[in-house]
Amino acid sequence: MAGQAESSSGFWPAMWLGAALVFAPLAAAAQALPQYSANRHIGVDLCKGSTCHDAAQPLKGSNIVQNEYQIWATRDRHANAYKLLFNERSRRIARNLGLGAAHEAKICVDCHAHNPPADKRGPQFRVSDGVSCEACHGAAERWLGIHIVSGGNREQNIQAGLYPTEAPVQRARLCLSCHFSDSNKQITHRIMGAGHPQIRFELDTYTAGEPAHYRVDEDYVKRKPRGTNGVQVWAVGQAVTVSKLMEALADPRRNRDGIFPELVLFDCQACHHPMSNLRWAPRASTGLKPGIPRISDANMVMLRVAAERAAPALAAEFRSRVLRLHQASTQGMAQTAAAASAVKESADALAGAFAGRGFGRDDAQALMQGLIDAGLRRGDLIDFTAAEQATLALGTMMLATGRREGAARQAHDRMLALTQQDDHFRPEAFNQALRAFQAAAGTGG
Amino acid sequence: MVMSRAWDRSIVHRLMAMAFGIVALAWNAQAQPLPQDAPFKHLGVATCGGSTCHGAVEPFKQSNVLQNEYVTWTQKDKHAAAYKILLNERSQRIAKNLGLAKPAHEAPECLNCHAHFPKEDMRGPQFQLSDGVACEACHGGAAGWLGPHVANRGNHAENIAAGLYPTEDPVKRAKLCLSCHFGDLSKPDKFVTHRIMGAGHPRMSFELDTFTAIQPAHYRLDDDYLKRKPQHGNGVQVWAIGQAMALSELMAAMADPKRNRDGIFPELVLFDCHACHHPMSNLRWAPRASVGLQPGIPRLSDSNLIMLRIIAEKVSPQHGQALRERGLALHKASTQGTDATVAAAKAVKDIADQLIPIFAKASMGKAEMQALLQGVIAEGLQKGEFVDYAAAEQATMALQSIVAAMRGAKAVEPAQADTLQKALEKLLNATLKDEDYKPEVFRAALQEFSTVASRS
Repeated sequence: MAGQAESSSGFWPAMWLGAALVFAPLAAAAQALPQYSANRHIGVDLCKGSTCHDAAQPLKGSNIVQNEYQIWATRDRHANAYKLLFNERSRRIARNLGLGAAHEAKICVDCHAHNPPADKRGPQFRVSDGVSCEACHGAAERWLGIHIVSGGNREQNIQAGLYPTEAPVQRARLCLSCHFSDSNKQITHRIMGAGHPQIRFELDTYTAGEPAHYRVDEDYVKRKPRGTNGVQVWAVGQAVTVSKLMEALADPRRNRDGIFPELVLFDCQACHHPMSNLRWAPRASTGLKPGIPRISDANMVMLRVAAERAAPALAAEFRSRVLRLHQASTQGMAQTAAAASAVKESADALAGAFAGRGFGRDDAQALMQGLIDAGLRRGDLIDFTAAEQATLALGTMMLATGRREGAARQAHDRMLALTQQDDHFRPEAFNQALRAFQAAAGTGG
Repeated sequence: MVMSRAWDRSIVHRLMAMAFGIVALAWNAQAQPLPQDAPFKHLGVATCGGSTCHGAVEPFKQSNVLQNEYVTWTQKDKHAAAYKILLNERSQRIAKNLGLAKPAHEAPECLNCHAHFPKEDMRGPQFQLSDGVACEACHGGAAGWLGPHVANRGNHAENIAAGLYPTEDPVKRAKLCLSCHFGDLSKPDKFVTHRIMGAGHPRMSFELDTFTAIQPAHYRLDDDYLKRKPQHGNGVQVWAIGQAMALSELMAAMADPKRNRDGIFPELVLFDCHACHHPMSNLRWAPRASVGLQPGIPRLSDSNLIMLRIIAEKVSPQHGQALRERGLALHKASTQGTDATVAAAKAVKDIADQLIPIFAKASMGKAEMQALLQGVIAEGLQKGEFVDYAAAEQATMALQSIVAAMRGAKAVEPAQADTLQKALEKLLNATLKDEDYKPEVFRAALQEFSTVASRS
């Protein structure tokens, strides 16, 4: 499964460690997301072709699989994203919002398809292809030729507009621009109220679950050492998610709707539960009293676990800034925005730190224990979204530590079932499964 | 000699009483303090509950009151159990979750509504908090009026001047009931905020006429009663005044900067509970003409606004029109900002306040009852305004009150009243549990009710 090869100590990773620490922020600043590229998008027809990326089977003797288009077209949900806009639920959402047809509304198409501006589309570009090749790999106008010519190197491709999807920070930013929002396209609570499903995302799980249309073999690791470590991808994903959330929370154009803050930035189930579910319990990591809607904090819960293992020097400050954020939400918007900016600063530093280090088996084991402790010792997994994130994270750690079977697997399967749908979530049942997982796979406890 | 002195004393008493009465009537016209705040001491239920007074086991035949009021209250009235509730696990959990300094049964935030809670120096030696929401909580501290009313020489006006609270007056009753069943904004700790709800407090809903009836009422509306207490009005009048006062209080809270926010959120208890508290799998949003909001925008608690508008449209159409316009403006203002919302809330409150004396003086006879019945039905069937639980709940209570009033006023034959009551059962079933509420089921029940009602 892609993303699971571990980055062992060696020359190239060490080189990239240094390079990433220096270049990652710069590269990130320089690289626009594909949708906003200055180059033109030429469409999937030019990626297809049986000698290019539409082989029926992986080609032997090639350093890539070459049936990427096939995998994407037949198994990747991104290929169907546009077609979804024609179903009953999508039509109802658009109708409720007074938008006309969903497949013609920019706010829908912006995420459910690849939607560059009209003047950036080549003659064979089709919106109906959904979230297609260039949506992630970047407008191909200038790199198509270069990358076909054997010997075109990666740096040149990237200079010509190929988006570096292997780099965890950049991948996270790209994925989250749809799987959360960015400043150009924001999913709001009005859209949710109109009927849109809850948005759920975790970078490593979703990378693997696409499914990945590449193979992390020796050649891949040599050419693209960044982003091959699932644990690193998970950690970076959490940091960038928190960063993007805080960005929205700090932005006066995005953080309010009338007399309410923008509700999509808050934990869904904090409000969306039946009143008969007498569920409140204090959480030390928020310090909030009952009845106060909680800022979406599942990713902050995860990021703290990651920080305490992988960037301990930054962890304490992150924690205290998170506490300050929750406290600020009981004061006013100005304080909340300021506190959110501070948390973003921490999250960005953590993203950089994670992107610049290796994650070995012992890290994965320690993180697994950290996740267990978050639930069993701190009671931080009593809310659906946090439990869901922890479950996905434990899946990543299980793969990284080789614990994929037996009692640990059974307990984890139980957690997956409990976090399938929020209506069925029961914190006591989840904690019970977590205890079983601890017994099977934990170290400290 | 003795007789003439007694006679003189009696005249002096009567003159004083008249003077008091005049002052009291003037005083009545302004804000009469609620029992909890009035300058009369509270003696406790012991002096009310004697068997020759109000603690008789059976109603007295020759008396003009039932005289078993205390027994009715203690056995059947939830007010009597209100204090004891504070001792149960749910209440203890709420207090603990809030981090209150005291357990629930000792905390002013809870006692203010769950018991009769006058200041300590206003409590007589036999007063007991554990009696719950007891006699004087509604009828007023008895120190001043116990004597006159026992001696049977005091008339009603004199009793009121001496501190008896005029619970028969719908406006005063509404103010009293709402001071707990909504909250008393003049006090710092007599209001259920969303924090208290989040800690585990059950949802609150109220309708003045229905709740009066289901206490159950410990008095009988016979000829003597109506002669002595003519302001009582009929059930429909009580319902109408209750709606106007409830809306007025809600708007006052919304306009009060000390009440209408909690951090970056508005005070959520002023919003419709189920607008948020439903599972996301319940894809329920539908546009509502009286709201005019897009989806995903939490809706201000508007069930009283809907009911009041229905009533006003029949009883005082220009006020009905104003309510419609200002109601829409209020919802819209909530998408703009706090200042706009405060201004819009004040504008709605103005209309509600104007309607109170109009309802108090209105005749609300058979024709009005019929019109109001049809108005409630139409709001649901033609305008689709009962898609949300709280509105359906209020509509059901409204229809119950109107049918009961029609029965009492002989606006329908008893047989028809019985048929209407049966049709009401379906509406009650449809609104039994808020989480199970399905607007289609309610609509079908309302349709059946409408069919029955159209036969009368």
